[in-house]
Amino acid sequence: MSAQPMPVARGPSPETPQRRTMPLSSPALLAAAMYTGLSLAAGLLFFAVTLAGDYSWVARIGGAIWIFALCMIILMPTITPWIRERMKR
Amino acid sequence: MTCAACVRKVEKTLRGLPGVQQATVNLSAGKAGVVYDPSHVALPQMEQAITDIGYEVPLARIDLLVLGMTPGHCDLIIDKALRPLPGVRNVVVNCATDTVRVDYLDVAVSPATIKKTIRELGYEVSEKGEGEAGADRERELRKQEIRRQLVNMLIAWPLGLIVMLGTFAEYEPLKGIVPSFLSEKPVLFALTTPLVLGPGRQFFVNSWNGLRHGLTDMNLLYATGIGAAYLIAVINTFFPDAGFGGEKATFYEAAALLVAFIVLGRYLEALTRGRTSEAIRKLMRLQPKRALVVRDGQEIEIPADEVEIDDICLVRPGESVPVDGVIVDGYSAVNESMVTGESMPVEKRPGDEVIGGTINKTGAFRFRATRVGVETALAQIIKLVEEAQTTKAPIQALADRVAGHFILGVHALALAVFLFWFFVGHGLWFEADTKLILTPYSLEDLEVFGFALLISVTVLVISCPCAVGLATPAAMMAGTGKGAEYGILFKGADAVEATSKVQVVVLDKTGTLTKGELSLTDVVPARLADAVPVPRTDRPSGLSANASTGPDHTAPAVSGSELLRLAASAEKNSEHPLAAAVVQGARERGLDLSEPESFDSVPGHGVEAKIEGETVLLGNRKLMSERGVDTGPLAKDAERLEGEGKTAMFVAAGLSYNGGSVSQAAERLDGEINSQPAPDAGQGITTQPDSLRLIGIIAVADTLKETSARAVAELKRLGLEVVMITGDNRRTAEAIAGQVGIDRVLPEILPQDKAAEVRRLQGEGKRVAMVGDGVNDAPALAQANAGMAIGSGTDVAKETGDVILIRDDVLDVAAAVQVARATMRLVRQNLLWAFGYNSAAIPLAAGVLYPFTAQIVSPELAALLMATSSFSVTMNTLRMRGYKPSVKRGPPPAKPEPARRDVRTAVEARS
Repeated sequence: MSAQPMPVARGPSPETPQRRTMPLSSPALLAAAMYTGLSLAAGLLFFAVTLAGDYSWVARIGGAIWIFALCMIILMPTITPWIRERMKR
Repeated sequence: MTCAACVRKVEKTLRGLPGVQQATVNLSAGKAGVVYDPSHVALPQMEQAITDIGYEVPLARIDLLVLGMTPGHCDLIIDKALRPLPGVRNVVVNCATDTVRVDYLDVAVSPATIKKTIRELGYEVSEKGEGEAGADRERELRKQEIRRQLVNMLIAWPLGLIVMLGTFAEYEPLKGIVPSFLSEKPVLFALTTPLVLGPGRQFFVNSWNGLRHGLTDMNLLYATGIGAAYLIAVINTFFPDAGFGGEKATFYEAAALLVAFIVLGRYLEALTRGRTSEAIRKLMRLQPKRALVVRDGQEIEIPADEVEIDDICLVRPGESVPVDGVIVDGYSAVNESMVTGESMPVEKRPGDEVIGGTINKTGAFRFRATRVGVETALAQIIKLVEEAQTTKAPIQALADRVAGHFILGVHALALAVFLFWFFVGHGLWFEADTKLILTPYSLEDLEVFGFALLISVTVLVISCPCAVGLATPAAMMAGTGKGAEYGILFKGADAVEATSKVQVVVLDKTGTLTKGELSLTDVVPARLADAVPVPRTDRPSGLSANASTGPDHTAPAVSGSELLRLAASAEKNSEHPLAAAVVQGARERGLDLSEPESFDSVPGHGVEAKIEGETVLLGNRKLMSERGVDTGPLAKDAERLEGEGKTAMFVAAGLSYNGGSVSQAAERLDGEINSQPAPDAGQGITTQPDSLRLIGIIAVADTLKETSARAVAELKRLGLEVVMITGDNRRTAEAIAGQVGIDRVLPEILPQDKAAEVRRLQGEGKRVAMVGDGVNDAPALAQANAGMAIGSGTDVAKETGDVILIRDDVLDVAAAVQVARATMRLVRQNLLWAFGYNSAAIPLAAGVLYPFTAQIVSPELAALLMATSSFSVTMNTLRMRGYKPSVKRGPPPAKPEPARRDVRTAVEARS
């Protein structure tokens, strides 16, 4: 026996994209805040550590930016699904 | 749903869900309309509720052709982007075939949304067409992709080479040859910028599209590498004192050649990607375009896809057969090699089947169309191979896992490498005359940041996992395509892997090793002394002694022809192959068969029928034993026949049988029996009306296929244990097994028990391939690690099993194992290439040799190595195109001794 797909669903489904892009409390925003914060912290930590050594300002700032960029790339796809999973639970 | 009750059931179930306000089911449309509160219930819950009560909510499926994917990570990106879409239930991405298959609930998401989502990630997407139209479209799209990458190449390479010449203009041997203005930094900037923003733009756009969805792909690796090199060069050009190495460290050539090499890699990939599916394209090209049909007595030419079932088609020499059908008139030889792998032209006469797409060689013929359009054998084969190519082998799971986490891993490694060289390495080992490998470039002015950044970027560029992602699917595609060339259809990549790993091959006897065409071989009537009445109770011990004084007991109880006539009459209404052989044998000898008054089949044992008012029993020992018939007197004859590989069937008839055709000797016997004095208690003969007497044996035998013995030898040569499974008794089975060289037999296995036998072999820790009829042996094929349906002919869609062998040739079993093994060998080689490359290249790029050589890998060299790895994997895969299984190269098989087919009557046998 089979049935055709259910065609009528008045009102947005809980799965619809509109529902998933909720302001402020959405998992995406929370994740963005987290990975950006952590990456900034990593960059700043790098900068702070270089202050103790004999490094040029270019090395300090350039290095901090590079660390920030790499951390963003690493944390973005790691934290986002993790937060989504936690929020689901 | 079939009735109003189903409707009520579904409606009630849906209304029972929290948040569902109204549910209306339309039976004829098979649809349910639901008004619901989305905050309380979602579509998956409704689906689940309907499934739980035994109904199905069917999913729609869309096959997309997605160009621009690079293996290893793009599949994960697309998968991740599509799965969260409402209604999407399953996503299968195959980078090797550039296809994405999505199963979805069509009321929740539209194909347009799916396509848009993929397009937003930066890929070109279109719906994959079917058949030749689909292939044409695919070819056109591939051409577009090749053209696009070619244009990129034509921009990137001249500019890249000029930038490189300009960069090294002051070094020998270019000094004085290259115009000095080319080495001016602003000129290099002006040359590199259009290159980065033109051909290199795709990497930035694609990686940004991915990042927007929280996804990373290897475009990000390229973009980071190119961006970092370009940015350093720009800073050092316009702000030379910024500390990034100054004017001597303007890596314009790095950024330029990085783009050039990556574009070269993309171009080569686009060029070679389609070639691994050459086999399927060859099959598609076979599909004829025109057909000559006879309508209203007129021969008219129409498009082949407009031929209808029962149309009479005309095929002249040299023409293609337009659709599948049965010859009604004419004679010819047809080349079927392109579909079945059969190299010799096959003779065709009226009544023979012809396959659409095959080539008529000699004569003209007319045939009646039986299958048209997507139902033709060729269309089914193409579909099956395409389906197989969209599946993933278990071995690919490892590659996918590695490639999936690779990008992040590489970025983490780049971070670690940067930190190491920044804080530790530079201070310990940096030397002023640091050089980039294979360049005269000196990095004396490079400061700690520039140095650590350079190594970090090189690690990013060199680590691309393209080759890892490409290794398995490309080989699988080549392997399944190669199999199709020889009429061996693997139903999926997992079937290829399973076939390559089998240790035991179980061959069904009938129809696999033998032709499955039984014929009558022996008719052995019982002697008078044997054909004594056999009551169900005690038998007279003194009968022989009494009989010896009466008629000649060495004479046959019935004549051979009468025995055969009785047996054939009893079997007349049976559909069993054994019965068909007996009936055919009797008819060939001109015997008039009687119509049985009753007929009862005893499955797996024999038949019982009433002929001319008398009971006739025909079957094996077990049946005779159950009915109280002693087979002892003819046991030796039966054993002899079985030892010759024949199937012996005992024939018994009722005591009162004395029909007109019974021999005089039998009549005498009847008289003798009838004249027996009434037995004393405990020792006499009771002439019960249902008592039966043994009157002879009928033997039939199957003929071995010409290639069976060679196939077994080939399978053994491949290191496989070969087992024969059959319903025959042990003696017959061992005789046949001995003729083909099989050492182990599983005799007396009823059809329904074959799966259990396969399971038992698996219980011994062996991986089993079962070869048999795709319909009758379906449970055993399903149980086996690799089920091979042999001799499916052209109706491949109906077949079960993991592998379908179109031809009825057991040699193809060995060929299938060889193709599977060659494919898996290719997979392993490719993975070795890919992993080997990354294992060797990453440490090199990370600077492990720097403390000893003072040289580091340049980003452009890293890009060259990266492009080479993917290219080498593709080229290695293309070797499969020339592959031919050794069994297909071997000499034509010698004709084996067919089973004896001479029919001897009792008189002849005993004379």
